Amino acid sequence: MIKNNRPEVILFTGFLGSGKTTMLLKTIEMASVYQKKCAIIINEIGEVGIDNRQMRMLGYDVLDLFGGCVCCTMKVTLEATINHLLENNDNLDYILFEPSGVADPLALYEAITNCGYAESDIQNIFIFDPTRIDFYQKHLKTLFWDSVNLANYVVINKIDEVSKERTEEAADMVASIKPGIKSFKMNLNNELTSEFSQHLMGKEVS
Amino acid sequence: MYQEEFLPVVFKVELRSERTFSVKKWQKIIDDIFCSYVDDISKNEECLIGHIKALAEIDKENFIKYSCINDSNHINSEVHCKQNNINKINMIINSLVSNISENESCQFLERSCLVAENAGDQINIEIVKNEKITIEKTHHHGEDEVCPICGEHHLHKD
Ligand SMILES: Nc1nc2c(ncn2[C@@H]2O[C@H](COP(=O)(O)OP(=O)(O)O)[C@@H](O)[C@H]2O)c(=O)[nH]1
Ligand SMILES: [Mg+2]
Repeated sequence: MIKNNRPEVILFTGFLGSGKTTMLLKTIEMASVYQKKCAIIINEIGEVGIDNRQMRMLGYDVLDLFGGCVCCTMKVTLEATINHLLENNDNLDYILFEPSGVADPLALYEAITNCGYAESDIQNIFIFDPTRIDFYQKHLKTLFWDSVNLANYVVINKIDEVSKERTEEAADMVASIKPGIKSFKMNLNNELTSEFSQHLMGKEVS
Repeated sequence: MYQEEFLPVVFKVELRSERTFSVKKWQKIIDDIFCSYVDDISKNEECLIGHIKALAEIDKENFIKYSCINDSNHINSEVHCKQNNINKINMIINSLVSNISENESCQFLERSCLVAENAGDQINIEIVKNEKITIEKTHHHGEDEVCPICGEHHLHKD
């Protein structure tokens, strides 16, 4: 059922309002420059999705997890959605997935590996909003810890809104949990940095 | 505290005016509504804003997106719009705030909309409450049916 050349899964994790949708939109634009085909999955809490509506208005096709049904565990619907994508698309390069900002990132992995993916096939980008350093430290320690541990790399965005010191503090927080993990500092209102683009897609530039 | 405390409250808001206004003017009107809504929420220290976001739809392709994660001084909005003069906007708000009831959140929004209505621009604002938003709220299976996704019986509260 599952082909060898499965599309790569890119996960955009991060708390509410951190910049996941913004990052996903930039990634689609970048992917189109690389002539890569993407599918988009969005899971928002709240019965009426906003990000998915926005994506559709921008002309993109989005799969929300079965109309945002709130009852089924996200794990199961995610699995069904990914399988649906794999069965109905031959030439996908990437599946871009934005889970809700309150989702437990750990729970996502099982659904994806159940579709035949190895954990190492998943690129997990944790978006860390440095304007919320205090909030994370005060209220979201566990989420932060889990998120950084699961991430393959971290994007520290909104650097246009904080001082250099704050950005460094954010980078230190990440490094103290997972030494050596790569952090990219960006203002997502601008283009993604070429260093980042190459890191994400560079291997496959033709 | 953990992230699950941010339960979403959804509102649909319909804004209309007799005369047409520029998108910029509408952007400001809605921005003012959010400022006062967020100010009301922030008065209670127990209430933490996770994310308040909104999509103000002008037509099928044109919109303004709002986002706020801390206080009324930081309400972001982005205009994606080629149109200029309009007299109607449909907006969806997703409000994720801890320690606030849907009812209280709605009262704050109603108050903020009232202020906007009384600001002299002759606009009319109607809030369609969560329980009346039926289309997208439906579950994909009935309470006593087998879930088509997992093939099991489970309750919606699970
Ligand atoms: N100034 C600035 N704003 C950003 C940046 N990244 C995201 N934002 C804004 O942050 C807000 C929330 O972003 P969004 O992508 O909706 O967050 P999500 O909830 O994680 O999907 C939006 O208003 C974005 O425009 C950035 O690097 N700089
Ligand atoms: Mg989002």
